[in-house]
Parts: sequence; C-alpha cells; structure tokens
Amino acid sequence: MTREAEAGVARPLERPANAMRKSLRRMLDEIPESAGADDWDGEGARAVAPRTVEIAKSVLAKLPGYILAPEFDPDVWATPRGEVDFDWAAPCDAMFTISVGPTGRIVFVCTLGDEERVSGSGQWNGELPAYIDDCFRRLRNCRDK
Amino acid sequence: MIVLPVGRFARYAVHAKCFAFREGELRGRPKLFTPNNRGKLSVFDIDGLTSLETQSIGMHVLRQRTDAKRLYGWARVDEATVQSIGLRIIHDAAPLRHANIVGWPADDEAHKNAVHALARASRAVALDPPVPAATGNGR
Repeated sequence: MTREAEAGVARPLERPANAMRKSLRRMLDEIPESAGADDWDGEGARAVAPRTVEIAKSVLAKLPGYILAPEFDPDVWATPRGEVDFDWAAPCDAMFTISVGPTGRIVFVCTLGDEERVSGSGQWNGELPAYIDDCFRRLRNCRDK
Repeated sequence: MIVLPVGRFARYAVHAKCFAFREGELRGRPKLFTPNNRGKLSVFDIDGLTSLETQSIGMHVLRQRTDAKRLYGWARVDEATVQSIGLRIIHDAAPLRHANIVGWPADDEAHKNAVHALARASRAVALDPPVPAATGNGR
C-alpha cells in the first residue's frame, strides 16, 4: 500500500475520475426532482422511476476510473422514455451510451467512427457485462492512438 | 438516376453538453437527437437560410421553453441522412419551417442506434458564449 493510500488520499491520476464520479452522482441525485413525474418535459415524457436511478447509481459505482477522465466528457441525463443514460464522447470520433431502462434492462451503443457501431442489451445484475468493458477498452485505445 | 432529398434541418441545443468535437468536427451528441416520448424530434428546415436567420429561429425556440435559458447552438442534418437511417421528416409548418423527425424504432436498442446514427452524421454550430433568452438575435 502506498503512503497516499494509507493516508486515504487518492493518487493524482485518480482525482479527476473521483471528482467526475461525484459530479455524475450529484446529477443522478437531482433526477427524481427534475424528471420524477410524468410529463416532466411538457412533451409527454415518462417519469424516471426511483428504482431506475438506484440502478444507474450502481452502474456509476462500477465504472472504471479511466472512463471518467474529463477528455471523455461523461454526462448523465434522464431520457423522455423514463431511462437514465450515461454518454461519453471521445475526440477520436467515438461515442458511447449506456442506457438504464425502467425494468433494469441495460442497453449500450458504441459508435467508433463511420465504420463501426456495436450495440447490445441485458438485464443489470450488479456487474458491468464483459461487452461493455470491451467497449470501454476500445474507447481508451481509440483515445491513446 | 437517383435524386436524393436535399433538405437541411437544424436541431437546436438549449441545454449544455449537446455537442462534442470528434475528429476535428463539431457534432451533436445523442442527447440532442433523442426524440420526445411521442416519437417526435422537433427540427426546423433551414435550407437557404443564413447563420443569422438560423440563429433567429433558435431564439424563438428558446423562448418557447420554460426549462431552458440559453441557446447553445444547433446541429444540422440533411434529409437524405435521415431517410438512410430509416426515419422520416414530417413538415407541419407550425411554427413556420417546423418539422418533426418521426418513425423511430420501438425497440430500445434499435432506438438508441438510430439516435447515434443521427448524432454521428450531424454537423454542429456552437454559439460561444451561449446566447441568453433575454438577448441575442430575436427578430
């Protein structure tokens, strides 16, 4: 264990990710207030259920630190379909979305440039599915090229 | 000979984090191209308009919104792209030049794929700084 870890201090590289995680967590905390009732957008939006926000918080807790780096510009927001979406946009022409649906279904879409789009879905079981981990790695590799 | 539709449409950004630089191009993010729960994505026909005229419509859009305070810019998509994704544009001209992009897939995964495809194909114009509702070009 490093001296910093012993003292409970995050290593320098982890600080931006920790700050981003806290920032996204705060945004999640605001969703029940801003999007917790039907028609919250005045255009027929579906309310975001408390359970959906709870699952989104579990997803956030499992995100690897490197994907929370500021250059990926992570965002989280309520969709008009009652989902909570996490979005990333990398300068290397990559976009990634993880959508948490009202039934706990996770949908992901990863777009890498013109040629490639990967998507899939599955029920949230408390761990990030391997295919999402794979997309994160590709996003990181694309940035590091 | 195949004649492609040539209309150009703007989706206005009245919230932050709607754009991203990717490969040197400013494009819309998926948040900007997500339709409402009635399956409509509100856009405006900007074919033949100058940037100032396009911004003017955006200011009008902003003033109709109670949940937004600034116009951050807009992202353009062309009609051929919209059709190539399997979506359609329905003109309703209320207000003038208004249209909706419709035909979104019901399936969650297909829906998100269509949103990504539209965002990927867009080209955005960011207003720096964003223009508050109380000022700007509001002809």
